Amino acid sequence: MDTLCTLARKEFDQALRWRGLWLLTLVATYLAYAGWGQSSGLTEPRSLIVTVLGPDLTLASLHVPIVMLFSLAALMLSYRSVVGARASGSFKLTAVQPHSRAEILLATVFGRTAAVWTAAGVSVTFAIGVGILRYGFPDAVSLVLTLSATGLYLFTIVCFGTAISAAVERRGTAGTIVTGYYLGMNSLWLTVTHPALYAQLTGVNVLYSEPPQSVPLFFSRRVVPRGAYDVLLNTAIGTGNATGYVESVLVDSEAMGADIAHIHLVQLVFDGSLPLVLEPLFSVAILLLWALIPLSIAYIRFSRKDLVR
Amino acid sequence: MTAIRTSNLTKRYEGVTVVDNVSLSVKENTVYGLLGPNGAGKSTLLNILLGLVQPSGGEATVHGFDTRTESLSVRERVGALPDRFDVFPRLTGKRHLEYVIDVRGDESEPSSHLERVGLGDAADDVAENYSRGMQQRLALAMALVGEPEVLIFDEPFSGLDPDGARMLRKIISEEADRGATILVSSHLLDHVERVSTHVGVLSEGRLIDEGTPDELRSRLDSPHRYELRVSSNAGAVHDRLRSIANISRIDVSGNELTIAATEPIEAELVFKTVEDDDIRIDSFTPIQPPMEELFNAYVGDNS
Repeated sequence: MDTLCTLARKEFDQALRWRGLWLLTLVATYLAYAGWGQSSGLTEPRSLIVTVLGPDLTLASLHVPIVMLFSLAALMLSYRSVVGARASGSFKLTAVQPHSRAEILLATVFGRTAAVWTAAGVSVTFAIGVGILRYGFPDAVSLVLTLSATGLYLFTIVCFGTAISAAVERRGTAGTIVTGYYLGMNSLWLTVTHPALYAQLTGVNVLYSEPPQSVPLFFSRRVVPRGAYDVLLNTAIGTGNATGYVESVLVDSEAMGADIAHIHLVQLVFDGSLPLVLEPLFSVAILLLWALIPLSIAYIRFSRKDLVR
Repeated sequence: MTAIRTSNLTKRYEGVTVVDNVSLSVKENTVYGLLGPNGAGKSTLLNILLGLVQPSGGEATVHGFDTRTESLSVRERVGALPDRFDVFPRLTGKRHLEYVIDVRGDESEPSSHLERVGLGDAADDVAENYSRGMQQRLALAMALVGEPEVLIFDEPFSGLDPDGARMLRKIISEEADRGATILVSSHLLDHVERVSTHVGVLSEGRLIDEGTPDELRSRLDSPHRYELRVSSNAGAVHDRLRSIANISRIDVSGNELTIAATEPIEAELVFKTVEDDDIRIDSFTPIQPPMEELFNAYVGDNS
């Protein structure tokens, strides 16, 4: 355990000194402060959002920076952590020390997660500090839930990136996979699971159909880490059990109401009790599974291969 | 007591045998030099000993611990300087040492280790900015933390300038005096010869000979060497020396001749054969045959 902590601290120090992390933190902080949380430039809805969310607007402002930038930082810090070190040879200095392979993987995850949390913590502290000055204190429970969900989300991404890094043999392969992951999670998956495509494939127009809705479609949007985080953050802030940015969920639901079954807002389009997989807490399980399954597979591969050649 | 033992150790990568049935034993408190050209399988053998590479066959133990199943116990007892390593990005030399000191549960100060290898002034510099020689010294300092029972150095002289090489030889000597068992692999024969009490020669994955440096030299066809310095006319001396039985080769360089013989040669006989009114012998000295010759005899042009 001591040696795990020591290695994790070394990984943390190394990651924290990566300039890219602080560059992304700077941009993220600007976004949290100046941009999206205050309505993405949508002048009119802005007052609506302020009215509805009040001081919790500050928490909502973290959504885009976390999803777009800190998830990117988490991936960049993790995807080369093992395969890059093996290629450069710095891994040898770790490998010759009395660490087990499980310890190496876990310490990499813990150390690099702590670095991403630290950078995100700086950004969040600044954004919340400014938010408090402008809008007052956010709800304490919402704050704790938001921070917990964010911490879990970033941990999941570091686990995924580290798992890829430990499982593959080449840096290029790891880079391709995580690039696909990032683009897939933040863009492609939303297209693939869009109701329009679903309507084309199934003949069911979800947007205008009555309850009960398609559980697979709704589940598919939250089965990925990005969707699961959306659900947890929307739940924490109280905008609903929904995938999508807090702000867009709020704006769309207000603008369109229940006439159109908004694909994000589960409670508007399902009767009575929800299936388990659409319960907000299930998103915690989804994030944990995205962390643990890749890491377990990576551990099996990592423990069977030679550490150096 | 044997500190390191391998038995029929074999490693194959995709059908290519890199380590081939190697059986060696290194006694406690010896300095064992593993000689071999690049690609001979030295690094793979050392990595197997550290438990970083799984052998395809055979077994290896360090202080009785199986490197395959008890690699943690092995690495707890071994300080290693790996070949072709890189330093940790963005961390200072001091931070490298702090990490190893913590891992080893040692109480020492990083500065004491850094000063020992001549890096005291560069402790707070980022190690990525060190020269290759400084990085090699840093890795050496890391290997020495905790006074390990066994030290495994893979090509430790690479990147070191003459001062660095001297420092390394001194440290190897100090560690041997402390009681450590040291395994040094290198293709630099001169360095290995100077520090080793025992030598093994590895070629194409096979251990082709081992013993003390003197034992290995004695296996040469012409193990007896002499250096002869004459006042003049070395060419004529060369011709006269050919009449002495047991002399197998004579190399001439200026007024200096190097003689190789299958049996010892009496100095008196040489003086009698060479000296006359025109030619005087300034000195006649027995010398050691260079290890390089032995090495070349084993591995030929591959070296």
